[in-house]
Amino acid sequence: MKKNLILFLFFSLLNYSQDLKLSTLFIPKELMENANSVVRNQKLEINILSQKLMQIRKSKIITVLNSKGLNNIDAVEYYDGSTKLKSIEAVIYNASGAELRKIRRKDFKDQSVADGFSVYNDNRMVYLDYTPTEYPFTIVYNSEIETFNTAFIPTWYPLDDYYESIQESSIAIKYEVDLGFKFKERNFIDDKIKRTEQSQLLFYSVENYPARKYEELSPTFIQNNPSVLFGLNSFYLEGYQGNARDWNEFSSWVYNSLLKDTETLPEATVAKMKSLVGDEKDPIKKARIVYKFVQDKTRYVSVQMGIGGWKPMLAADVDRLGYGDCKALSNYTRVLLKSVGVDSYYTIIYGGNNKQNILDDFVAMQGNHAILSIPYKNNYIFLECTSQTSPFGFNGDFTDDRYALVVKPHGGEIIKTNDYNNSKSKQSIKAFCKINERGDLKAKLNYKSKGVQYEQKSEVEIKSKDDQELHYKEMLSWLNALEVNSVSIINDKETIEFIEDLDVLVPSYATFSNGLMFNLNVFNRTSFIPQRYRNRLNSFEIDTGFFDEDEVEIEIPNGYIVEAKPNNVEISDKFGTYKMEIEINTNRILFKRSYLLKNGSYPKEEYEKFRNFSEQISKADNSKIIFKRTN
Amino acid sequence: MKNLFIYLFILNLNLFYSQEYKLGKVTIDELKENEHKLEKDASACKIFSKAKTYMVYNNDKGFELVTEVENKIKIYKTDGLKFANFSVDFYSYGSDKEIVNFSDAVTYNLVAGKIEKTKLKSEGEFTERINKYNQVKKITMPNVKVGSIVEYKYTIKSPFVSQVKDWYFQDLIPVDYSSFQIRIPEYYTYNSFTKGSLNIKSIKNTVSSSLTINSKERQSTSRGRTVSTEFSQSKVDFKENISNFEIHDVPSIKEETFVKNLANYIGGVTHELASIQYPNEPFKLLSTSWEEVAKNINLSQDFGGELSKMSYFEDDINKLLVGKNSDQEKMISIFEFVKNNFKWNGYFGIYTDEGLKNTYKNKIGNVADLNLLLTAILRFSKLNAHPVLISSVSNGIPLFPSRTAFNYVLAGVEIEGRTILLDATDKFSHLNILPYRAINWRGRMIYENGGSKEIDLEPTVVSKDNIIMDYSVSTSGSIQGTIKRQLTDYNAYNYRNDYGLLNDESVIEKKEKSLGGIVIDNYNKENADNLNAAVIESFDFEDNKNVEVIGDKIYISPLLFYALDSNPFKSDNRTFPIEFAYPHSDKYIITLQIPEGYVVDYVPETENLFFADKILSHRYIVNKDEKTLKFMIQDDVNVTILSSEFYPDLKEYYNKKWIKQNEKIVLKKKI
Repeated sequence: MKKNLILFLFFSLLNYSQDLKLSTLFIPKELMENANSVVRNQKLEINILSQKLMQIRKSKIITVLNSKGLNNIDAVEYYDGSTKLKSIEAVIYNASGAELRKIRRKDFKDQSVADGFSVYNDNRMVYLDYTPTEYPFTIVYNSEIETFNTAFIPTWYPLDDYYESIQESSIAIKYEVDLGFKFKERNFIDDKIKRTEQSQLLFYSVENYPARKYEELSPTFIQNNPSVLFGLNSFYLEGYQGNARDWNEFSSWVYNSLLKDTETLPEATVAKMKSLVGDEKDPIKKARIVYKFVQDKTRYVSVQMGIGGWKPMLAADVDRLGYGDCKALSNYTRVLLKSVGVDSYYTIIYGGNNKQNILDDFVAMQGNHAILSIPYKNNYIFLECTSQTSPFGFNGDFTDDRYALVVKPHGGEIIKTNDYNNSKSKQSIKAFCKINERGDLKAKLNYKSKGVQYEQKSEVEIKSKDDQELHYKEMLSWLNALEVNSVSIINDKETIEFIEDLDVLVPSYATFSNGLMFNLNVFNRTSFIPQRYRNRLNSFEIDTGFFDEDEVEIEIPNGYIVEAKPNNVEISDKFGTYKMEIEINTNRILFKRSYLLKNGSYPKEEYEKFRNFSEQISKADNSKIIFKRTN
Repeated sequence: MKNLFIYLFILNLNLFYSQEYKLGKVTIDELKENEHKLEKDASACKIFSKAKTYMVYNNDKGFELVTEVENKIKIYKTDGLKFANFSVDFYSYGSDKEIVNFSDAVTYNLVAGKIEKTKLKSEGEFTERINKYNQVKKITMPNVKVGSIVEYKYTIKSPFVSQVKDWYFQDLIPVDYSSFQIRIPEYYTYNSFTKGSLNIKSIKNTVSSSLTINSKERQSTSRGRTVSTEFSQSKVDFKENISNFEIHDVPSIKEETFVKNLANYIGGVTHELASIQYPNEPFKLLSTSWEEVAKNINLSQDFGGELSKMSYFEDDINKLLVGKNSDQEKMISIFEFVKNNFKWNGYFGIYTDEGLKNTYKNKIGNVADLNLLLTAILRFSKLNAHPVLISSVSNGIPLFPSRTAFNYVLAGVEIEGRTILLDATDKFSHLNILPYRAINWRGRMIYENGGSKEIDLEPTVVSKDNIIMDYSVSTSGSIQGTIKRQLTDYNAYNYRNDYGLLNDESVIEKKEKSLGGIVIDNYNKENADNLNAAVIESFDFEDNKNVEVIGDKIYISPLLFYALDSNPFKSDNRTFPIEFAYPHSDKYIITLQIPEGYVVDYVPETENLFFADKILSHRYIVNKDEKTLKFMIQDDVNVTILSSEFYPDLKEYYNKKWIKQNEKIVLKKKI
C-alpha cells in the first residue's frame, strides 16, 4: 500500500495539475516578507534508467514579485554532444492567474557557453530572456533533458538563494537497483524537509520556507543551507564506465581512465628534464627545477570540450603547445616529475576563495579544479600549476585549508591542504618618520608580507611604476597628497615573503592649528565596521583572518612636549586581539600596534560583539597625539 | 532567354608597405630584447600592426570588402602572455556572411641561440557561435613564453560594403608601428575621420586599375536546356583611390578615472560610405551632413512613418488628458503614463522593432519603441514634440555625420521657448533628467518636414544638495544631531535610483553603511515617488567616529561624515579630459552646540577657494557665538568637462578642499 502511494506521488509529477492556484492571492503572507520571488511549486524528477542513461524533468512554478526576483526564475538548460534537451517551455501568468504568454522552445535563446576564459567550449545553453511588463507575475516552466553521463546527478537545493520563499518544493529520484545509488543529506538544520524512501525510489519535499535577507558577512547561501547529494557506485562519463564504491576504487578509475594514457612524453623532453635535474638527488629540489620549467614554458588557457571538461590533455600536447587548463598543466607537471623519478599525485579540489571541501563520506565526482601534490615528510607539498608566478609550494587562498582528493594509481585519499590562517598571513611594518617644522612627514617604510597577504601584495610587482604609485596612494588614501618618491620590491619566492621598501612624503601631515597634532597610526588604519542591524538574522563568517604587526618611530622637531596622548589599548576577544602601545622619548615616539583577526564562523548573537570589537579598533587606529611648544 | 555573367576580378595589388614591416622577418636581436625601448613596464608590444582594406568583385554579391591585418607581437612579461590569444568577431545576416581566415600564424623563440619557429595548427583555431548573427574566431598561439614573438595575419571578407572596419592605431600595449591602407574603386566614396590625439600621417593618391570581365552567355531553349554557350572577354578601366595612414611609436592607452568611455580617446580611423556612383547609373548620395542623415532616418517607415499613426491610443489618451489644461500638465501626465505602462526590454535602437501599435499592445519595446511612442502620443496631444537622435555613452561620440552614428532616440518637447528632453526607458528619468547612458555630447532633433536641429545633451541645470545639520557633542565623544536634506535634479535622480525601491529599514541600513557606520533613527523621506518635487529626507543621527576627545580637548571637523575622505585625483599626470557627470552645488548649513563647560579653543577660518574663474568653487564661512558655532559650506561644480591641461591645478584645488574640509574645531574645557 505504501509503495503504491509513493508510486502515485512519483507519477503524478508527470502531469501538472490543472487546478494550480496561480494567482498571487494564494501566497501566504509570511512568504511575501523579504521576498523578491516565491517558488510556488518546484518538482525535480530524476530517472536513472541505466548506468548510461538519465532523464531529468523539471517543473517550476515561481511568482516573481519585482525585478530583483528575475534571477531566480532559473529557466536555463545546458546541452552538448552527450546531453540532449528534449523539451523546454514556459507559460507566463499575470497576478490574477490569467495566461499572458506561452513561450516555446524556439523563443528561448540558444547560445554558446562563452565564459570569457575558455578558448573553446562546445557546451550550449538555452535560456529564457523574458522582460516582464508587470509585477508580480507567475511563470510555469517545464524542461526535460536526457544524458548519457551519470557521473553527475544534480544536487538538490530546496532553497537556493536569499530573498526567495518556498511554498512547495520536491525531488523524486528513481534508480535501477544494481547501480549502487547513494545520497547524502547536508545542513538539515530543521525538520521541515520530509524524506520518503522506497526501494528504487527516493522522495524529498519541503513546504513553507520564508525568504531570508542577506546581511553583511552572511555565509554563502547554498553551502550553509540544506542540500542532498546523489551519486552512483557505477556511473558513466563520456565513454568511460566508472566505479565509486570507495575512494580507492574511484581514484583508480580516475587514474586508469583519465590519466594513464596521457603520460607519453617526447624523448627530447625526457632528456631535457634529466639534464636539468642533473645529479640532484633530493626529490623536492628536483621538483623545484621541474616546476620552474613548467612555469616558464606554459600558460593557462581553459579548454573545455566533451570529456575535455574532465580528462586532461595529453602530456605530449601540452609539451608541444605550451598551454593547457588546470587539469592539463597539473598532469603535465606530474608526468615530467615522473620522468625524473619524483612521485606526485593529481589532486581534485574545489578552487575558490570560499572554502569548499571534497566530502569525505560521499564518494563521487566532486571538485572543479586540479592541483598537484608531492609527498613530503608524511605530508604533502601542493603545486598550483596554472600560475606562472606562484612560488614553489604556495597555493594561496584559492585552494588552501580544505579537503581534496589525492589520486593515486591504486587508490586515493582525502587530505586537507595547508592553510594560511591567522598569523600565517602576516604583514609587518617597520617605519621611520620625521615630521618637520611645517608638519610635513617624511618616512622610510618597510612592509614584509606572508601567506595570503603575500598573495594579495604580489600583484603589485607586475604593475608599472605609475600604477605602483597609484596603488600606494589608494591603499593609504587617508594620507592626503601623498608623494611616493621611491619604491623597491623584493618578491622572495624561496621564503615566500613579499618585501616592499618605500620613501614617502606626506605634506602637512601634522596640523599646527594650536600646537602640533597628528594621527599616530600613519600607515595601517582599519575603517571597517560591519553594517549595523537592528535585528540580525543570519550567522556570520570571517573568512579572511590575518595578523599585522607595526612598529613606527616618529621624530618631531625639538621644543615640544606632550599635551595629550591616547592610552595604550589592549583588546582581546574571541575574534582576535588588538594591541597599541606608545613610548615617548623626548622628541621620538615609538608606536607599536598588533592586530590578529581570526577566521571563524559565529552565531548571529555574537554579531553585535564583533561590531563593537571592530568599532573599538577603528577608533584606536585613529588615535591622535598633541604636543605643545615649550616656552 | 537567360543571361548569366560571371565576372572574374583581378587586381594588381602593389604593396605600399616598406620592407621592414613584413611577417616572417624575426631577428635574434628582437627575440633577445627583454624590455620595451620606451615603456619599460610594458608587458608586451606590437612591433607592427597593419591593415589594408580593398574591394573585390563577386558575381553573386557585387563588390565585397576585404580587410587584411598583420600583427607582430613581442611578449616581455608573464602578464603579456594573454596577447598570444586573439579573437575576431564576425557577423552574418541572412545569406550575407563575413568570412574570417587566419594564416601565417607563427611563434618564434630563441633556443640555444637559434630561432625556433612553431606554427599554429588547426588545433589552436576555434570558431564559436555567440548568437544568430555573431560568431567569433579565436586563436591560441602555441609554445609561447616570456620573450617569444608571435605573428599572425587574418583576412575578413565582408559583403557589408558600408561598414569598413574601424582601425585602431593604439592599444593597451605600446605599438611601434601601425598603418592602415584603404583602396577603393572610384564607384565608391568614403569619408574618413581620425580620432584620438595621435599625430597620424596620411597620404592620398589615385592609381589606374583595370579588371577583365569574362562573360558567359548561354542560349537556352524555352524549357531551360542549354543549347550553346558563348564566351566573351572585356576589359574595364577604372581608377582607385588610396589613402594611407601610418604612425610610429604609439604609447599604450591607460584607463583614467572621470572618463565616461575610454574608447572615445583611443587613436583610430573610421570610414563612412558617403556615395555610390556605378557606371551608367544615377549618383547615390548616402550621407553628407547631419541634416541629410536625419532626413534619411526620418524617411524610414520604422521611424518617421510610425509617428503619424495614432488611432490605436486615441481613446486612452483622451481619457488620460481629461482636466489637463496646460501643456506642461499634459506633457507630464503623458510621460508618466508611458513610463508606468511600458517596459524597456534593454535594447537600444533608433527604429521600432515591431511597430508602435504592437508596442502599445504588448507594453514592451526597445528604446525607439518607447520613445517614439511617447513622441507620437505627445504630438497627438498637440504638443510640439519631436524625436531626438543620439549616440549612447557606450556607442561613443559620433565623429561625423552617418546613419550608424546614432543608436538611441529620445523624445524632445519644445514648450514655452525651451526644449525638454524625455526618456521613457527609465522609471526615474524626468524632464531633462536623462539616464547616464543617454548623456553624451549632442543629439539631433528631427522635425516632421525632415528638417533638424542640434541639441546639446550635457546637463546645464545645477543639481542641488542642501543639507541642514544641527548637532551637539557630548564630553565623552559622541555626536547627536539631526539632518534635513533636500535633493534636486540629478541628485534626486541618484537618490531615487539608490533608495527609491527599498523599504525604510533597508534605506536606513544602506545609509548607515555609506555614512561610515553612524546610527540613524526617525528616518523620513518625501517625494521619492513624486518626480515633480525635490527629494527631502530627514533623520536623527549618532556618530561616535568623527569626534575625538584627547585630554581636555574635543576635536571635530564640522562636516563630520560628509567631509571629503580623500582627493579623488591621485595620479600625477593626466592624458584625457576630466568628465564630471553634471553641474552641482552642495550646500551645508551647520549648527554645532558647544557642550556645557567648554569653550572654543580654535575654529577654522572663513576661506573661499576658487578654481579657473569660479567654474569650481568652495566657500567656507564661519560664525560663532557663546553657545554655538555656525558654518555655511558650499561646494560648486559648474562644468561637465575639463581639458587635461587643467589637471595639475584641479588636483591642487581638491587638495586644498580636502585640507579645509578636514580641518578641526578644537573645543576646550573651561578652567
